[in-house]
Amino acid sequence: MSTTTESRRVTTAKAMAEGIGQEMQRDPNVFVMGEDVGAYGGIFGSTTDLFGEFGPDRVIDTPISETGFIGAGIGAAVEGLRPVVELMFVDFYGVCMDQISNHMAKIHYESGGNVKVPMVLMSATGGGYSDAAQHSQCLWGTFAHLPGMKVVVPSNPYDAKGLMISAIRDDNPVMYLFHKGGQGLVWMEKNPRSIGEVPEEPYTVPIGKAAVAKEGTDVTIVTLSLSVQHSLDVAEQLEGEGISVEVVDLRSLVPLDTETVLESVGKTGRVLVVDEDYKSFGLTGEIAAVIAENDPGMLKKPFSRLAVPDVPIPYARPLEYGVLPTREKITAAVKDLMA
Amino acid sequence: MTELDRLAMYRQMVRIRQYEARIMQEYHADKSPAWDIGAGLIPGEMHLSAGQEPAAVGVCAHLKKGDAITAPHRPHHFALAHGVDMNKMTAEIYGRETGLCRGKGGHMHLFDPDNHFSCSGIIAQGLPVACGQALAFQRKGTDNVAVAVAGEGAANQGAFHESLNLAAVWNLPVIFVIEDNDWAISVPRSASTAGVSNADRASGYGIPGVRVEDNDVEAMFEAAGAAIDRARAGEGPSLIEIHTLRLWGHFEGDAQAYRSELETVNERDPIPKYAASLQELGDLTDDQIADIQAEADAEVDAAIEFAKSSPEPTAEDALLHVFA
Amino acid sequence: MSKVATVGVIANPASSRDVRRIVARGPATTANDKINMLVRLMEGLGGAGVNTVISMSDAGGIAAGLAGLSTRKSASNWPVLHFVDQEITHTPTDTVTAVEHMAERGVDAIVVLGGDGTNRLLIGKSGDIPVASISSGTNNAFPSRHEPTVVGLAVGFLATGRVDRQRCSYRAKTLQVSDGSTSTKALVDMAILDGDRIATGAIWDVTSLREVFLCFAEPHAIGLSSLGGRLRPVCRRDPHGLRITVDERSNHRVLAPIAPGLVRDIGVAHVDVMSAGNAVEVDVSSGVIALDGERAHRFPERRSVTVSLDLDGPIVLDVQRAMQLAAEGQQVEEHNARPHTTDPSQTHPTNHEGESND
Repeated sequence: MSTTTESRRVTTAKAMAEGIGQEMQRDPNVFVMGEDVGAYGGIFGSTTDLFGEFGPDRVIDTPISETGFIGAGIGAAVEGLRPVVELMFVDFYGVCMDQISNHMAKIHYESGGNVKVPMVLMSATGGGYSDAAQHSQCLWGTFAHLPGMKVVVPSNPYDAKGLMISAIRDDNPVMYLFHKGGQGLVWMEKNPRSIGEVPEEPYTVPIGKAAVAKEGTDVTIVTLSLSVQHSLDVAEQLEGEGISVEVVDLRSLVPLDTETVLESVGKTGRVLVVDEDYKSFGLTGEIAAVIAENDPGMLKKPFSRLAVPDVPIPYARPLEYGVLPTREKITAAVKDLMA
Repeated sequence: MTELDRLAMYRQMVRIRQYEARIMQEYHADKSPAWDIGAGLIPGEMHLSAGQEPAAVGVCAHLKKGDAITAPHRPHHFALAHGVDMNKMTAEIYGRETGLCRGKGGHMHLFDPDNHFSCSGIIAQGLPVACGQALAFQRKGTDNVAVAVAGEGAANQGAFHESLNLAAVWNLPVIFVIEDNDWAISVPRSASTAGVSNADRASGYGIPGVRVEDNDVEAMFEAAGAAIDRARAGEGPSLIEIHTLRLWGHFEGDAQAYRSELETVNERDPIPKYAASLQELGDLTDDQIADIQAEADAEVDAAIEFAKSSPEPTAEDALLHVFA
Repeated sequence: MSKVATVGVIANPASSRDVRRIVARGPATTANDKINMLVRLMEGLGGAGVNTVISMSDAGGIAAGLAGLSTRKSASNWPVLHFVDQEITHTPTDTVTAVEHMAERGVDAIVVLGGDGTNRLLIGKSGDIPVASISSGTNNAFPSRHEPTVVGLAVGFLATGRVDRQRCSYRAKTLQVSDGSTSTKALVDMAILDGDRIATGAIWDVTSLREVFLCFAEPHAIGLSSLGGRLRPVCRRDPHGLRITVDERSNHRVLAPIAPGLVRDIGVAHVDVMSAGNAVEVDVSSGVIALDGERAHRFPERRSVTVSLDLDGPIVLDVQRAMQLAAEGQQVEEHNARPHTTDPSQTHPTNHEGESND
């Protein structure tokens, strides 16, 4: 990656916040609410500096009351506002899933298309820093499984801003799931890819369009979120060993860009799906089904997947890294496909 | 109508009752086999609101264009009192293309954005949504209010308490209406609710809570008027608990064997009671009673006819409207 | 030795929950507050040696709450607790039924938790049984503000014969309004208002007020009786009351706290003293009669009604006086070297509840 002296490099967190802020400037109906989104700026930096710019009237700290304020977000959206609501950790979905699944996601359909819920529900996902079973999950597969909400999963600063602006402008409820390890926070180990070039002006990244993050010819890695950063690291390293890896960054699960996936797999004939969510009944199986439904013969090697092996995320470092999709495991899986 | 109009309230109660009575009749008319809840022109669960008319009529008499209501699984009385189109609502209950929701919602999921009306089959979960609507009204600087309706059983849900707290903290123009019909399906209030009165619970959040006894529509009208005026003036949320009456079962087909006070249910019917009190005042004649009933009969019959003659949606339509 | 003593307890589950909570931030005495007040009362009654308590039943959770607590170890000092076996109607009838039952059982005293409206229901029902009222309603001009524990002791001393009931109780006045066929009574105030609305009953809009009749009018009172209290105070034991004719056009203005949270400027045309036993004729065009601050009866047509002040209310226990008498009965040897008087009259405060201050 080359940079010019004019280019501006910011963290994913800052890029997200900037996208929200620019939409707030453009549209007075946009406002933010959630726990500690105000003066704190969001525990994972998603609302950095917004409180100072827009004040407590538009960047609203809520009680620790997820059913209450997510429901309030829905009510406000139904009345034509465009709330950006933060669920601090996606793991907290258990105390508010009725509002998310039965209300936010279903109202448009139940109403026969007569009531829109233009709301963004952003939430921090992922592990890797020993926060254990109740603060380290990804769960995007869970939300993607339930109809009625778009599920957006950015992997880098540029997409974080562009997808946020698209999410806010979308007339549908959008789950915007960012990875804590990809935010570029000063208090967490970060991949250099968590800081990147981001244009200052507003722009959109379309929801439902995957990106080919790196082109290659031998193996396709289909992945998302922080695992994109790991996969790119692996791909660059394997390049030197003569293995050409193509990395497909899904960027959203709903809608799922099957076309880009199939195109890449059709080219390489080998696929590894890397997912930090649980293995069974999730994204990895879904991609396998997409390929199988299209043409099982397009694979030269059996389908391969790397995901959390159906255990809760453990605490101790060797345990946690034992189940997360690390660079080492991705490398080994790619080499297996090439063997 | 914000001034007390007794005849209008009586007419609305009779209209709602006639609606529920006819839906009950139609619901059972073609169930074959009779025990099959999914059979017939009106399939699925059916929760009718007979006996609870005073709650809806007393509140909705004060509402104006732009005011919102979130109702629970037993929503017809609030829908009709709030001006939801009876034809479209009936067509929805019959699962027709012309229904409020094109047949996608059914009787527990009625959405009428023109009247800011919605309901949810998940009890108490409409309360946070009403808070959000109230938040939107507050932010837009209108004097509209949101009314959140739940039963006394629902008031033991976390959503109830979270909503009261949120409404109080943010001083939202929301009115919580708790319909205490004594029964959470088959569990009496005494077995479900610590502290018993939800009017008292409101005071724990600094929200004025009033209990209206006797299922009295005029008392409800007065209390709701005070609460709605208060909300419109920016003075914040109120809670009104009305001791109302579930005249029929929890759902159609409920044998109510658990119900100890079943024998006296009809004596407590609020509509004949109100008619008698209006007659005593000289505000209602026998002729008017007959006329109002005939008017209601005709309107409801026409709505049912509209529903029955409307086309059904097709299987392909099921794939529409997931996303805007 | 004390005699076997039985006390009746009425706790109105519906008191303090009306619309005045919304319009005037009226007091919210919750069911749990009432249960806790009853617990403290029971401690007092038990401490004073009362053997048995008969409590009203209700569906508002108060009787159930008290019953639950009575089985705990912490209730070991309580009197034996029974509940009236009564049908619950969720109406004022429930209170009346309970009082009638207690009168039949011949209880030694009745304690009432409620406001003015609740206490009114005892008129003509409690007979010669002394009544102690604990303030827990929306408007509380009639009940005392004493701590329930102390009320329990005072009632207990009375019920067990430790204090002389003649020396610490008095009979309350009532107002009666009668149109020939029906009559009804009030304990504190009776008002005639324009209009035909009963609805929640509560009065907070005084523009429709026409006439106010008062049994007593304390200058520190809350509610409609404050109108008289602000103009011409009348004590609870005075053999007269007041009639006040309201006229919005009158230049004579009075600022009065007509309900908790509501101070209103009211025009007054006349103030007349009403003597006990004398009836006055009042011409009522269509309107509503309010009893003790609550609209109760409609008069749809013009008619003449008779209003009279009578000395036939409940026997009221003066808690402060009872406790003083009990103190006089204490035989404790004093070791205080400081010179002191043995004449208890010198320690009497000058104003007992209900004593004349005219």
